[in-house]
Amino acid sequence: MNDLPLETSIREESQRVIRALREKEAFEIERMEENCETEIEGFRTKIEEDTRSRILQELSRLENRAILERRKLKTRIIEDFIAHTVEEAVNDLRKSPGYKDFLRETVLDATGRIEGKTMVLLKGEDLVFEKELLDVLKASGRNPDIAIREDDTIVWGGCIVPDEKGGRIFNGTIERVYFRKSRSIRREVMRILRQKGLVD
Amino acid sequence: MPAEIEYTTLSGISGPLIFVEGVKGVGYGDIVEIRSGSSELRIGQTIEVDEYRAVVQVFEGTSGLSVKGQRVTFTGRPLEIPVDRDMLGRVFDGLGRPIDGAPQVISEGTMNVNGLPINPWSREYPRDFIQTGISAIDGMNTLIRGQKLPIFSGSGMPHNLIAAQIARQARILTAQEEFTVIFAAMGVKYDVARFFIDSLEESGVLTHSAIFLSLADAPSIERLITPRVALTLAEHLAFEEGMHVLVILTDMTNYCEALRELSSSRGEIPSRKGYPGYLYSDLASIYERAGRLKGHKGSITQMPILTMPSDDISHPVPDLTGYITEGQIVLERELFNKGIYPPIAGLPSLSRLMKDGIGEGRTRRDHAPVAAQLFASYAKVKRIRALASIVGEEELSELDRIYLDFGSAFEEQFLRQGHEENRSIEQTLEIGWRMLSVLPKDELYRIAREDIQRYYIPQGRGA
Repeated sequence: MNDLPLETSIREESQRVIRALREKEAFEIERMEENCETEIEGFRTKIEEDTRSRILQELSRLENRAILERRKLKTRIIEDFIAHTVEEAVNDLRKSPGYKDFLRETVLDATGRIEGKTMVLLKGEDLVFEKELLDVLKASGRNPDIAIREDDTIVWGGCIVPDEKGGRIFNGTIERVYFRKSRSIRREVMRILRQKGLVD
Repeated sequence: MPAEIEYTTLSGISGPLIFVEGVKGVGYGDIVEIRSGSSELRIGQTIEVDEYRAVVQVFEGTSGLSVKGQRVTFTGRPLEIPVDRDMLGRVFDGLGRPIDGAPQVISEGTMNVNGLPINPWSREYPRDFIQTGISAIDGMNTLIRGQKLPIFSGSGMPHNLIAAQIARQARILTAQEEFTVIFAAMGVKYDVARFFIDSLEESGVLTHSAIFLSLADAPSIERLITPRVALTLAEHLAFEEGMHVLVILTDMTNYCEALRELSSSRGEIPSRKGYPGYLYSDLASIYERAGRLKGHKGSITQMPILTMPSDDISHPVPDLTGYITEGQIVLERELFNKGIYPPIAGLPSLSRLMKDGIGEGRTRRDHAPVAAQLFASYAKVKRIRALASIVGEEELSELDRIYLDFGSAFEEQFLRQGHEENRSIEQTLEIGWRMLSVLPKDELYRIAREDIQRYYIPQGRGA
């Protein structure tokens, strides 16, 4: 019996299978490489996109922060300017003829609402007006029992008139007047600055 | 100029309240300044006046105050705050004072924080769509300009994340009109406050937003003022500056707790769960400040967020809120436990004005039928799930099983989305169609045939 054809057939079949396996292997390797490349490319694109979006986000954040800080800085500068202007105005307060009138009217108004013994408290620098104020009070004839004293809690000027019996204090200090009017003062300063084109 | 009167007749302190004797000419609701010897200034409000005595609630609380040595001034004015466009980009405390390191803005005018609910005659019906970028809201519970649409949440649920996401993403589709977000947080913790600030700052939204923060350790009285302060600025921006303003108020339950605390300090007769009997009208005085006015370009849209104690929707706070507002968005514990964000419940949520702000020319022609179909189909899913829990899934019909697939896909793909994911209304509707395409065409009985032909994705290409 001749085994040759069978052997040849087996050999040929084996070679065909091996060839097919090699082809499949090559194809699979190629496919995997392609997949790998696609995946790497996808990953690279995603990372690039993420980075780009992160950079844009950071840029936008910085830009927005800059806008906000600029706005805040503008408010701070105006506030400093107002504080400086008020300080100057307070320093020159006693040079204004209106100040004495203010003091006189405030004292008259407060003492007129108090019965019995009372006291008018002034800042040390304003004691120069003591005699004048007492004369005005005497002339008004409202409350004869009034004394004038120094009060170091008054910072800028004006007067305080306590009404111990009534449990009240008539506060006519400049700092309270400023506190009460500060919003309209700030608004007016802003209006002038805008008018002069110094702020937008 | 008449001198200002300071009273030294403080007769008692009780919780956040002080009692001042011998006062004359004091008005209810007047703002009061309380200065102690150290010149520390506190602000309060008159809440009760009789012939000689006034009761004042102190916004900063009364810790450290003593009966002696206090000077109390009744200003004769209600609480007013400066209002100006420059307040955008700034962070304020619950009383409207800046806490971002810069001085108070210099405004053209001031406004009474109590405002007035908009007169019904002056109102214009809310219309037009606000896109939040969240599918469950935009697609099924659309927010409309001028609407008040609350979010009902529960303890531990991600309402803060949702609020921040809405604040970051909300926009109107007509870009030429100015849109702004005002965020008011009552009784929030420091980390939550920081989260809101960072979240808005990082997304670049802060430049056209204003934040009002009343922190958890701030006196509870401050919480009663915070939403009013925020709405006052909103009214200025909307009706003076012509902007469209979205006001997010969180957490209204904290507000109501503060109201209950104050009411109890005043010895008022408690109503349901200890809340005062006027809780409804008090809430209405806040919610009714939303809307549009005839002859004015701008609008105020409100999204109050509240946590329902024990997830109880019949609790007085959500109950009374629901009476006043135009719908509600409900967060569902079951979805939250499944890890779905945002856990917006499909069925109990509702936007009553949705129908007037969507459709052709506003969103898309198929918006309303798609939303209606999603609601109807999801309702059926809920019924089938209940049935399956009794008879078992294998006993269900083929169609029922398709519905279950639809339910899972709806929750996983339509409801679920990322914290940073901002979906356009077109994307939302596309996802909606993908979900509906899981179902046979015959089941889409709420949608017109031409829309089905146009948007339905044939079997196998759906979810």
